[in-house]
Amino acid sequence: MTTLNPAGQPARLARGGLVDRSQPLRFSFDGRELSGCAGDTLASALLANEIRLVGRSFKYHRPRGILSAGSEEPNALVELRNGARREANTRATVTELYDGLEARSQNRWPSLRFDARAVNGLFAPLLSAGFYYKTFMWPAAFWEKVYEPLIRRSAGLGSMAAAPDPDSYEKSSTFCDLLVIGAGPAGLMAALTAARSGARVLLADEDFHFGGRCLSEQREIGDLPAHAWAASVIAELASNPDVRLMPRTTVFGSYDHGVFAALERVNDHLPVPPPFEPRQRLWRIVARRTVLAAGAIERPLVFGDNDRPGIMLAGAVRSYINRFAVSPGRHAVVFTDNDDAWSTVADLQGAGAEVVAVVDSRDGVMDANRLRSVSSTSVRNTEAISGVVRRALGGRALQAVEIVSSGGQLRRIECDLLAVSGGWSPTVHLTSHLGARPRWDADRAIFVPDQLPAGMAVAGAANGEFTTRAALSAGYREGQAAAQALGLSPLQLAVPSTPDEPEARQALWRVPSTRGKCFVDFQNDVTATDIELAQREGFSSAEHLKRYTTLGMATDQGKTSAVTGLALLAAQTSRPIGSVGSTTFRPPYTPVAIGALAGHHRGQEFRPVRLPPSHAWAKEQHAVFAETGAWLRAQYFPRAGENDWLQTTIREVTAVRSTVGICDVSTLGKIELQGPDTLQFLERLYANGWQTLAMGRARYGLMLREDGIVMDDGTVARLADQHYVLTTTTANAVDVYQHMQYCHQILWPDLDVQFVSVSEQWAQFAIAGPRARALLQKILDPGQDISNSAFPYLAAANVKMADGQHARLFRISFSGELAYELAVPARSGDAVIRQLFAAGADLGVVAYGLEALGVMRIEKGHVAGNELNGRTTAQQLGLGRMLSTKKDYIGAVMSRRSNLQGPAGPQLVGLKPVDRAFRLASGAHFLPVGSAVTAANEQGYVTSAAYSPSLGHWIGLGFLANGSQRHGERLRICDPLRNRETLVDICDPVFVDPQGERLRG
Amino acid sequence: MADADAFAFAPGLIGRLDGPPGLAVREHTPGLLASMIARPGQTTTLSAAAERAFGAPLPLAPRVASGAGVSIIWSGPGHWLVESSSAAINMNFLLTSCAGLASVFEQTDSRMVLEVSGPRVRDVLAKGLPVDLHPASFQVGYVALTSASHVGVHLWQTAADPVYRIVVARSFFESFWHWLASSASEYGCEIITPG
Repeated sequence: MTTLNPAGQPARLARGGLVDRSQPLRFSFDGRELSGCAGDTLASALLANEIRLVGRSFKYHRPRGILSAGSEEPNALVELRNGARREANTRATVTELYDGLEARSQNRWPSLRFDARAVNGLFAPLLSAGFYYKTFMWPAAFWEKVYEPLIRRSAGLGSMAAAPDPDSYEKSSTFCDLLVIGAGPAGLMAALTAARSGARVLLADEDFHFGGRCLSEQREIGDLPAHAWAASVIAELASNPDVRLMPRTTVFGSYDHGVFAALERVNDHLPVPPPFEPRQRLWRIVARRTVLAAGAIERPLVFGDNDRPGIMLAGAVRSYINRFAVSPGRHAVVFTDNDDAWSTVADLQGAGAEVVAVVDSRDGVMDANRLRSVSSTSVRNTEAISGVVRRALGGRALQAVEIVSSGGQLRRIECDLLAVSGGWSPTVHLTSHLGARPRWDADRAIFVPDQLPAGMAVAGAANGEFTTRAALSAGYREGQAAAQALGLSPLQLAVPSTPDEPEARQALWRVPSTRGKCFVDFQNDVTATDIELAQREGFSSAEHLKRYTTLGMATDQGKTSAVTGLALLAAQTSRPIGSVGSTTFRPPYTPVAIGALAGHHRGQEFRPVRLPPSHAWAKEQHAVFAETGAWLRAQYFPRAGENDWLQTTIREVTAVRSTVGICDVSTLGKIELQGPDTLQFLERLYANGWQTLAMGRARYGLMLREDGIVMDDGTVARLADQHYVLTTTTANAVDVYQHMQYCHQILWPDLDVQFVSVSEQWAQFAIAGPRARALLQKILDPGQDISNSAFPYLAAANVKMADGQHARLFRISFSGELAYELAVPARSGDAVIRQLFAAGADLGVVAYGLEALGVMRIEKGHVAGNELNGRTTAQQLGLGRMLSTKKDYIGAVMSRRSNLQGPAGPQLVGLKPVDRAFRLASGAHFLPVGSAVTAANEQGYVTSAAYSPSLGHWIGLGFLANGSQRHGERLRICDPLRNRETLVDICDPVFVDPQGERLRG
Repeated sequence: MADADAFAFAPGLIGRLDGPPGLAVREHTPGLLASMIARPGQTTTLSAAAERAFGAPLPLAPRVASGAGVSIIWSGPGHWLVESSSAAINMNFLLTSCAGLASVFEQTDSRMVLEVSGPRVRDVLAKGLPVDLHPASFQVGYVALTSASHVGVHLWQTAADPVYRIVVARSFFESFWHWLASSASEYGCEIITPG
């Protein structure tokens, strides 16, 4: 490591730290070109350049600096990167510096130094707790148009990128015996102990450098500086193939059964991820045991104008000095209520800063010996004051502090850095994601973990074991316990020795008699006064307080403010803090990008898509596709010169009704059944009877739910004595299969029937139209007799194709025409559809899609998804005659409920517009002519509508009260949503070939 | 985001090209795939029949049993997937061997079968499979019936290298392949001509 002070980094220390001065990195802040070192965060690099004003606050637009050196940072939020990669609200304290980094301050206009909206501060009395609720209550209509845009413009933080994120994200799973969260002294010791005992260990830390506080404190572990001890442990762990080290990985959520969610920032430390690499990776970690060693977060102190740039947590000051080799100030004051912060004095002096004074709020701790023991060089220039800092002075930078000594004397001390410490709060978040609340330890003024999720242990500062020695011992203890619980033999290790660390503390929740704003939640600009006001207004529960004041509701989730907020509320209501309760922590621990949660599943990959066997062919035919459930199906096949889907659909329907058309119906569910009790199973499953279904025949089947409502319809074909194949609708394929499994496994396990889905095995094509038989004869084996007498309507058979391939043929019609369904093994589907079109060219064969299919079924009055909507009975659908009275079946009893019977209920009808040019649409309601458009007069509704090429006008299907008795009646249909209405004539729902002569022809 | 067309399933290389591919993918085209479901109370007899017919008893846990040119893959209680590359073990053979003991349904065309291997195969599969494939938990002959990136898959390990077979419903293959290819592109992926 060189001792050169890199050019242009005036606050960079000449020596020490864990940054690489030989690797300078260029970056810019608000357009200013700057340089830092490898190993810097953006925050440390800014401080190295003596930039301490980095942002403006949320509500009052107050100048803000850098408070912390970790993920708890509430102030130093910046906009990082440019263009489509711009990301708002990025914490400078965890942003790893890279060459070419671009950052901008946010929430300021026109500039960071002069922010016009800082005028908000003058109106602070109007912006107090609950100001949203009070100020913007009236008039209600103003909320969307005036208030919200206004608030969003003047409050808020950074702005989003307008373009789609060009980077990729992914998800991954990993499994381990022991998950260790946090790689500080406790976590390292736990991981080492368990790994040496033979466990599969996963060690994750949100930082890019493992070591936790070992990197930030001038301490010795064993005979080594703490960071060197950490490095030696990390090296050993890295060499163990059963240990996975995951730096830059935040374990942000704890779930049932030892499942954790973590975000790995794979390439956030580079301007652009390398080719083929994701930006971030979301991990699902499944751990048999977990040691939470997440450390602790230091609390700021509450006094006047405690948010001035230059006021920094004492632990962060030590991090910047010891880890990043940056002196965050030249003339410092330390303000503390505990012993721990005193070590800051020596570190500051070691970094060449003058420590003007140490202000300790505790009674009777001040003596020269203490000062001498913590001050490494000289105490000559440092004054120890028993008292408090009442107020910080300065605007965009700290200039001085006002101190009130315990004797009541008011002092003013010039300084540019105030190191503050209100003690450390254990990072217990992951212990409470499953609902447990931490326990208040009144003696030490901290929340400690209480009930833990199964398999989790807590070690080190996260458990209130604050000293290095305690943390190491705790890590060893929990590493051993984990190994034991995993059935391994825990290895005995010597816990390395460490010097004594004083750790006394006496919480100072709020400096009394302050002047200026005393911030508790910096990110949401919540002050001590807001908490007092909220309590006076009746919001004295912790949960109400949080929501009313927004305390802890910013992106930092109150990491530096929640405990203090509760303490102030407790003081205000004269209750002990433990009885005020704590707010529950929920995932994520730190913000997670939506992109990481989506992973691979965005754009076209949003969800898996199923492609029928003819998909490639249909694409070549320029088909327009529609998503139907998971399937991508051809909707229509436009030809040159056709202007819209309707024109194409009319052509397709006309062709099917006059020549022959082909449609891929492979998406229908296909379930094959075998076994001696198959017939019995079908009898119980379907509402209609199957006893008379002969071999080689198919029949339409209707399935009810247990409540008597129609579940699905389809066909059942009997291929052999005990071998059947049934079809379901495309939409219900999975549900019907599940239903059948339920019936077989739970209701009738005694039935000897075996069945399985063969939906994927068969490509199935509907071949429909007067020339369908002629077309089939060209591709089937010439010996295969499919004449009307040999293979009549509803015949089913195994057949041979001309090329010898086996296939199944069903004479089934949905279109109402002479029609077949030809099933071939799925791999042959593509070849067979090409063969069919080649063979059918001289017969005028056309491809038809979902639209034409839909038109033809409406013309035939066949019910489909719009009518089988989970609310309709067989009677209502006009299928009542199918319900068998000779057997019991699922839904039989409930379908006979009296209120589902009777003429007043809705029944399926057809409708034709009186004005034949009128374009019908589904969703309109039936009303008597001349009656008012009110719900009381409504008599039913239109479910399906289509233009019928056969009739030359629009037609529809619908449910109308007592509809089957009202054919010929004239009604009004109203569509208040689209503001349309017309008169219609009610008719039979079968518009084309009501006698079914064509399909039997 | 990668263009979906960059992930055509065709012989060649996908993704990172500097160095040996982390994943090798080969389509395996079985001569026969069939679902075999035992009739009530017949599992023991069926297992003995299977041992006579294929040289392997039926696995009664999530395992695969292998005989000459045939694998019997556990698919659920009383339910197996038979994969055969032997001309002798065809549908007729199955129907005859299992007559009265099980129902057999041909599924040869219903699924795509991939064989995946390579130094990063576990890292690639981890991006979608919620299953622990570490040798401590999953070994040669182990079977998982699970999902990969929301697509149902049937997977078993065929060699310790490791090599896995993954079976995917045919209609879902393109979506599955897009996931697998994009997950593997970071390490480089070689698609080997079916052999």
